[in-house]
Amino acid sequence: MTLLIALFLLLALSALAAGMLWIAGAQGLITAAGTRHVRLRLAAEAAAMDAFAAWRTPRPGHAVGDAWTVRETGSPEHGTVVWADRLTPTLTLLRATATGAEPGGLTAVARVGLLIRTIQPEELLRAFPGALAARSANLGADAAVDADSADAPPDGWFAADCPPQADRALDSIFGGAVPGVVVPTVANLRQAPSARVRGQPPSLEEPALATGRAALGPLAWDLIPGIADGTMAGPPDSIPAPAGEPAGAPGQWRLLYAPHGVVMDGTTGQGVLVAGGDVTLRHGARFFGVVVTSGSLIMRDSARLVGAVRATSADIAGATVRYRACALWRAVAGAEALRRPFRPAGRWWLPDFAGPP
Amino acid sequence: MTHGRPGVSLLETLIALLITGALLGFVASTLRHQDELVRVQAAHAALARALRVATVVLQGELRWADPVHDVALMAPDSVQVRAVRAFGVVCGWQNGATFVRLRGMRWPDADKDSVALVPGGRVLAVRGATRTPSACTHTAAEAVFRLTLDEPAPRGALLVFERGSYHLSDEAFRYRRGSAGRQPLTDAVLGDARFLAVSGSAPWELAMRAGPAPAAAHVEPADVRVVFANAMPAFSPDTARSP
Repeated sequence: MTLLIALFLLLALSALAAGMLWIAGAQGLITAAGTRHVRLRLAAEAAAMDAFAAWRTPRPGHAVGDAWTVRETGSPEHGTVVWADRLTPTLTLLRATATGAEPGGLTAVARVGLLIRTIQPEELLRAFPGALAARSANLGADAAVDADSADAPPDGWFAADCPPQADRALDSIFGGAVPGVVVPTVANLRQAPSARVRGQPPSLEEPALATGRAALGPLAWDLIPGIADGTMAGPPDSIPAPAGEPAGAPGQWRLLYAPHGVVMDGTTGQGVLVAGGDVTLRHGARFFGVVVTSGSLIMRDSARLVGAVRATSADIAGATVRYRACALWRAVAGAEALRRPFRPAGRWWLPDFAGPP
Repeated sequence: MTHGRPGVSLLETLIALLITGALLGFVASTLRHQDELVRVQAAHAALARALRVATVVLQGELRWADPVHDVALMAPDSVQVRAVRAFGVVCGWQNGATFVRLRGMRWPDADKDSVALVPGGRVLAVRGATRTPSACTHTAAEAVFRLTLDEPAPRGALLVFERGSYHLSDEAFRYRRGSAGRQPLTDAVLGDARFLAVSGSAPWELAMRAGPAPAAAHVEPADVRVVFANAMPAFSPDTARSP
């Protein structure tokens, strides 16, 4: 009798232990599947972020409506793929898919979309409505502001240095006619008899300049320090003369941020210069590209600025500002900081789906 | 000389009964403990299963949601969401209608869906949806629809969504589409369950805390947390401020 009871007890305990082991095993399998699912989702997100980090604009040959493969890693059964879907001129959707193997020869897939905002050179060109845009401008003796022949290559440059997109942008933005000086009201423009202003028209009133805050096109001021290719901290100094002038080597077109302003004393520079103080060019200094300053632009002694400038005020004597679409385009399209993508306002991660149900 | 009948004495019988009783008592106690263990284990498994379902559903629904516009914590027992059901890219227009290349878990339904424009987030109601395969070039993974919206959608993308809400009621995790009934997504095994907004005023995270049903009160409660990917700090041309 006792033996029977003991056997029954052992049997019951064994059954319970087996049941619990089965439950634990099932829970373990489910947990492992959940872990794989999360890993796949994170792999898809990481692939999208990786493509985002490596993205550079412009991407010639990819028009609005185009879709193309950006990157692939691993194999179709175990890896990631990122496609780009260009939605608008400035918005592209990165679609990332991560694929992984499941037990039993099955395949699991995770998908995600990442919307990115790119800066197009045309957007930045629109921020420069003339050769010189300022709230007030004082053109002293022998000052020259010239926006005629805006599509011509700068002096010393070859036609091959100027991409056709620059001319196309010029036509689409200005219709080929670029103003010389743009001020809120002509009362803010003082001009010595020997000063020359050329453009179509030579001077233009733009009331919005009186209240507009300093910015680089769509890029607000407080964004610039974080993205600049180089920062000139400390007291105003001359910016280094780049190699490869005048057209510039690819790496020499940069977005430079000078929080306290810049003094160029007989030197040459190029790129996109954003200054938080006065920008002074003197003793034959030359700059190719664009200048944006929340202070004054001061030019003296045969200094030359080839491109365009936007300043709070301008004081020019014996110096020249010449609008050249080619120099503008090379500067804004070549600056590494402006080729990177940004996060658009609001939603940028999106769910993505496999296809028709 | 006397010969007694062979057998057991009363004392021996009592001892045997005592041992058997003790043994049966031990067996009963063990079985009772095992039964308790099984019930706790089952409660654990049921709670884990319910939490797993809640995790998958909430992660899938909210991980890539816009926490500002898509999610509203209505009360500790309910969260209202825009549940995205398809994603589309605008590919053309005709007579006020918008053609869209779509992929999704289901197709647009004029009776219950709206679209949110990307970017911008403006919401337009879907007044009509017709499948028109030849209207735009599309991949095998997509279907082209002619959508009649409140107004034509601009170039860009859009999200087709339905309004719904997740509820914690009657010990279950439930989904309610529009004003329909609350459909249970889990068994009724959740006790003292509630939604929590994490990170104060910035909606970075949503949490759901759930314990077991009262019948298995000694199982520890657990949390489900969803981190909104779209709640990362913005660093963009369109949102940064000027001095």
